[in-house]
Amino acid sequence: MKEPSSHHDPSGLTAARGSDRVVGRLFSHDHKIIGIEYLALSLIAVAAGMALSLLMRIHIVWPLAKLPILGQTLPEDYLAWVTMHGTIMVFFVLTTAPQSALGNYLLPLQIGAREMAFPWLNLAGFWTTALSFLVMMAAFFVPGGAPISGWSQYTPMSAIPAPGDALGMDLWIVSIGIFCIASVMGSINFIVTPLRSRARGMSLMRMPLTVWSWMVTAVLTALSFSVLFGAAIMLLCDRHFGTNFFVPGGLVLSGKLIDHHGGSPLLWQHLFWFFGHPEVYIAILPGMGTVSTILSTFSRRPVFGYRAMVYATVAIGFLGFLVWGHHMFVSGMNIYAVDAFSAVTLVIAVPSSVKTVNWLGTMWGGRLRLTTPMLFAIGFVSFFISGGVTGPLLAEPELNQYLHGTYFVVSHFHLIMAMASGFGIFAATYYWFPKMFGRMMNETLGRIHFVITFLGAYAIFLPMYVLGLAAHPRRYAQLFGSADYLQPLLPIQKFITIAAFITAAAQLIFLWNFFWSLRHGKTAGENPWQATTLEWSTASPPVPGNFLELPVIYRGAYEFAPANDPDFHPQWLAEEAEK
Amino acid sequence: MPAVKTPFPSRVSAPDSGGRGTDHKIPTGGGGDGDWKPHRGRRGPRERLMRYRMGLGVMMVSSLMLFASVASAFFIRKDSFVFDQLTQGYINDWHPVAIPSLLWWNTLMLVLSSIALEFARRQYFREDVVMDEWLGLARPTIRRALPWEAISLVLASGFVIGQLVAWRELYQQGIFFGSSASSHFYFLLTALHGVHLLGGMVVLLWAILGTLVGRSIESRQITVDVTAWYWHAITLVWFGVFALLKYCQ
Amino acid sequence: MALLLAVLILLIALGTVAMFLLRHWMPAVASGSALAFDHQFHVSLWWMGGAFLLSQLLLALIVWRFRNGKRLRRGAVAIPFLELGAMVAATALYLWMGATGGMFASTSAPAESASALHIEVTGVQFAWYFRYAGADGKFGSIRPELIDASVGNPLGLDRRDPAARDDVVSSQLVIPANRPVELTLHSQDVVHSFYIPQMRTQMNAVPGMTTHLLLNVSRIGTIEVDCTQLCGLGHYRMKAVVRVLSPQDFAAWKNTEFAHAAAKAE
Repeated sequence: MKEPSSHHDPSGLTAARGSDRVVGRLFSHDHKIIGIEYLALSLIAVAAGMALSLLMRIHIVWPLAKLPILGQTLPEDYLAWVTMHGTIMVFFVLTTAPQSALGNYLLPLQIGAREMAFPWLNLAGFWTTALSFLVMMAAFFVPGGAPISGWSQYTPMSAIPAPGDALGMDLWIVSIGIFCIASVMGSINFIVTPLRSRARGMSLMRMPLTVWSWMVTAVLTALSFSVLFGAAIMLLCDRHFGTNFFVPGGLVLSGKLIDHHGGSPLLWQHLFWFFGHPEVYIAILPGMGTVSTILSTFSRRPVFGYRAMVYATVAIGFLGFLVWGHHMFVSGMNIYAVDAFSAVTLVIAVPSSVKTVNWLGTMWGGRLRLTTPMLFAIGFVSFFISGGVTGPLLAEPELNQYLHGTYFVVSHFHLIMAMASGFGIFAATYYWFPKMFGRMMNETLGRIHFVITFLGAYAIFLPMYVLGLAAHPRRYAQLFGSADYLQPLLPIQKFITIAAFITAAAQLIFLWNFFWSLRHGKTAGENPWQATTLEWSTASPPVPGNFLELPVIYRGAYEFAPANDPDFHPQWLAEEAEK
Repeated sequence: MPAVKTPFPSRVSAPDSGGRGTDHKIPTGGGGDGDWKPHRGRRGPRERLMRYRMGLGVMMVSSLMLFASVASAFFIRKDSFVFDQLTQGYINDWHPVAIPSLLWWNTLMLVLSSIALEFARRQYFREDVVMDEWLGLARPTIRRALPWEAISLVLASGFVIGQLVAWRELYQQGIFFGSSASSHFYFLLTALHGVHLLGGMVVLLWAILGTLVGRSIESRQITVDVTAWYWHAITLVWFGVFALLKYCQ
Repeated sequence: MALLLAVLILLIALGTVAMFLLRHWMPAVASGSALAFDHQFHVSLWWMGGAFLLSQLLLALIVWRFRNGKRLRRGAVAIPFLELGAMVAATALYLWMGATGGMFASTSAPAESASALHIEVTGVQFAWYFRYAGADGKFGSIRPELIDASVGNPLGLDRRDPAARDDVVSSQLVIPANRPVELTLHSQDVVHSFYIPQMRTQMNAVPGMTTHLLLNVSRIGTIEVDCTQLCGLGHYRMKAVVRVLSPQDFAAWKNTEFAHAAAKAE
């Protein structure tokens, strides 16, 4: 409850000087350091998640291959990788990187605050997340290994201790419980800070769209993660304390009659997806905000329809809570509920379409500067379209009956949630790297990285659409031994595996570029991109306490005029804006 | 400068309040910029307090969702018919737990505890109390607020013990956590609520210790204020839990 | 770079369309409702494919046209008409898709009828079992504690129940063509999904409850069935075969199987 000393020291200089030591830095309550810590955590997580996906790709097409260290792998290993790949990517990458990492670093800078509202809570949030990650990774190393029941952990499979869902499953539940607490801690800061700590002149409608999306995302986090927390507690009770929330009676598993009765497997699905669907928007909304900012900056044009973008963000956040049932069209759910969920799902596609139109409108008539962050932002829009157009198809319950549980769905959500969000993270990293570390990343390497990743990601996920059309169920460990009509699809699977390896290899270029540029990149200066938002008004990296003097804001976040010179009007400069 | 609640309007507006009059929420120390809305940035003594209150609000909404999720599971489970292998038909196996009447006394204790803490909270915003503490003239909170805090803590402990006794009563009737669907929810909801209250009690203990060792009045104001609002919220949640268990089965 | 990016987007957009058109990816159709599905799917796919192509081409065009500030516009910051128009168009398209989807479902779904053949489908890790009511037309009772595949009772039929004694349990789903078939699905252990690609439908088999699937198959032959809900390490090999027989062949099959079961019950 003690107030950080930076509050009494206007520039916060003394506060940061005291924490120069390594340990002091690790436990610093400075939002910039916490942001970078989150970024490092998600970088480790994404490496783990990608390694798992490559193992999966190998097992699908060469199930008999002997891998180094792992040796001969089995279908249950494949399922453990599927489960952990999904879990790690969703929780520790797509939730952590765009929101906790970038949001923590940039939100106070963009609203002209010296700190998050609750710096110590923020610090606690990071270490709780780190603990959760350690517990999750520990699941690989306990007897029985990591859980095999998929990241959605459908009961009763996940609710009954069994080979493959032994101690690892318990660790999964505990880790997710810890993660829920950490996320809610983080979300408190993301809601209170923009509402109460904005600099003078920063009205809500002058906030960058990134701040809006972090705030709406935090609302989703606060509301949905506690539901997952409740569900996780009930699941743990079902596994160990003899309750029957999710396990019905009369089950015979591996020849043994299970001593449970009366629970409902559908109840788990409802609770899980009530969290799970908002989670999709938690992953994509920050990317949408980032991309709006970057497209505007490098088109030298204001964001097209700023207000519409804000309203669309809020609408997506709200509607995101009403569509969870579209994951359950073939679950045996009530048929009227199916129709209602279908209708809301089709409606939620509308604000997403508006956003796409506005991104194109932002670029239209601009002076495009195709820097690396801009390339990735355009890539985001392209992926968002490619993944998004199949949403309304899947939202029709009748069509869903065929496509549910096939690679069509895999492709749909990877293109949006993984590729679009991932490109949002890449764009943000290239864009804000100079602000974070004071040096530019290498443009040539960045462009090579973009071209290979862009093509590679499409080469992986577009063929999955036709695999889905050809009725290829997902989460199949191998084609060998499955239905006959799937066998001709093996060449497509092989093609995808090769594309996955090439795309993964291209990420080494990014890593090299990242670490090389930390030391050898061109010095960036305060505002290398000639951008208008507030973080570019201060030094790169920002001084302790963010600003030497708290800025005053005179205009909206995206005042560009491509035909004029200078063609941009930063938020913090007082001169009259071109009308 | 800590926040105070001035009990009567002072005649003169504060020197740097920009002449906005006496009703303004920042009686002293606010920014002098008349065209600028209050509560923005780090301005005014109540700013930190409002920030913490808002943070607590977000946390409580999140907690409420936790209880709501368990409550919705309660309703779904209560009304669900499961397929029975023996009779090859759908049956409902909900057998309500008889709620121990002790819970009424527990509820009373919790309400009194909440009221006591509210008295303590108000002491922290009296101008004379705050000024004495702030200027270091005296430590009136020890006399005026601490007893209320202690009473609240004792009553809350009474509630927790009462809840445990109620559990024991059920155990003696042979009703355990795993006994029936209804007992799952009884024990789960009371346990979740109890854990929330225990968390609040730890913070209240912290506030009491803070008063004894003489932490700054600003910090204690926030601790007690936030704890009190948390307490009221938890009491309301208890009403919900109790009503659910007592009347909705 | 602008040229390269525009060409990349163009290639991907056209390549995607070509890939979808390259061949008919979906398995052959085996029922009338599957035909109706294909129609609705293709109409929806054309619309959304059109939206996909249009937006991607527009993206490529913008990248190319506005490179280096060629054709600078002062441009509007927001055009309410455009945004409202986009919103209305999108809403109309999506709701139209939803409405037609619902309509086709209500017209093409096989009607529940008294003459329907009732078959019980049970999902077990990692196989499907199909139970016919036998000569008496009644499904006998099941006791979970009797389940033991090694003694030939994978469903736990209670042999003391006369209704259960003549039940026929098969690992193949044998059905007559052109007759409504009502499947009642449930599961012995975890959630499975009964997926029949050639009929463009699936339904979860959930423990603790029953779900239903109505079929009316028009084509004689064999059809493959998969499991599409992750159910354990053998998920990928949990498959079954549906044999669709002509009514005469089905009657013959039924007579032998039922007689066989009756003989065993004696």
